[in-house]
Amino acid sequence: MSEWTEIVDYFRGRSMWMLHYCTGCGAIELPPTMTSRWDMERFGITPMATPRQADILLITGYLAIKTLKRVIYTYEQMQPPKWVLGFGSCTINGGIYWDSYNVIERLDKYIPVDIYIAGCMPRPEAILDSFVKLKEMVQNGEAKGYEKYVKNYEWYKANQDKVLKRTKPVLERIEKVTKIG
Amino acid sequence: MADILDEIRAMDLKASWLNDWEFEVIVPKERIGSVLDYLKSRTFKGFMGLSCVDWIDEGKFELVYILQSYDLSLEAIVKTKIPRHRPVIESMNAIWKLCEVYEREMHEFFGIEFVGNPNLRPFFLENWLDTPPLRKDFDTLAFSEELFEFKEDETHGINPPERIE
Repeated sequence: MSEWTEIVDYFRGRSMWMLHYCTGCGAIELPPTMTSRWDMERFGITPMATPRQADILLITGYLAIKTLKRVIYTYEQMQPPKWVLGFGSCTINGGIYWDSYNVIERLDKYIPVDIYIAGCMPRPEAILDSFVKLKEMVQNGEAKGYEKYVKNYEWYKANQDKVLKRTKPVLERIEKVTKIG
Repeated sequence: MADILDEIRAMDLKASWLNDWEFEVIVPKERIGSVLDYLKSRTFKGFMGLSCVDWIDEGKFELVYILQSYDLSLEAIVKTKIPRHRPVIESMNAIWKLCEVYEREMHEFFGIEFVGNPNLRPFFLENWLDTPPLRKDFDTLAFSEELFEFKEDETHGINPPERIE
């Protein structure tokens, strides 16, 4: 690692803009994190409205098949360097939706996740803890999820296509039960 | 307003109070349209919702129409049963236009055909090719294991005692 990348990483860790993808119930923990009670801006992290200007993608909770597609669009629109935080147990193993027909189980099979925040729900302290950890990782040059995504794109793409581009039924259909005739 | 129930019973239908502000009416499948039309003319103008119950042992789907009367402050729950195998029922979108959306949802999640509903396109689910997911014979766990590769003992290399500390 050259001195130049060390300096760049140092400053990157101190100014991160966050895009929060709030389709899960974890969105409710973010207003107190952002506002004066816990005030995440003291770590240099502030909410950002568009993916192209954001550095962190915070995914709060469960992702249905429909929202997974939008998350992938959003992630691919973001400029590197970019980092993903998986928030809550639903992004880790499906959480309470573990046997659902419509909720994905592991987020890091579809996009690379730098830090998982365990819990249901994680408290704002846990979110701030993950920000501090991410800041350390960025400053040490450890958070390289976006490089992993480029290197292993075939693997990620195959996993995404398995869920999003189904061409035949997942389970064997015994008989046609719904259509007339 | 006890007389509304007497009127319904006079139409040879089963009706009973559930509590002091709502009652249920059990209707055969063929008469559902005329009964809902009659209730609408008797101030039950608000269509609150349509849901479906899967009675798999009986082999029946039970459609539940929930209506509300603002004048009488009463709620009417109209229930009808249709066969579970290849379920077909007439659409109520001529009585309440709003029914179209609820029927579209029931079509997607239970596979019920609503004759006369022009708008039964896919609604919430994306690219769905399997059995409709809210039917009780659809195995959601097997689906989850197959498509999302769910593993029950997946711990990401962290042993439970370490996680609890």
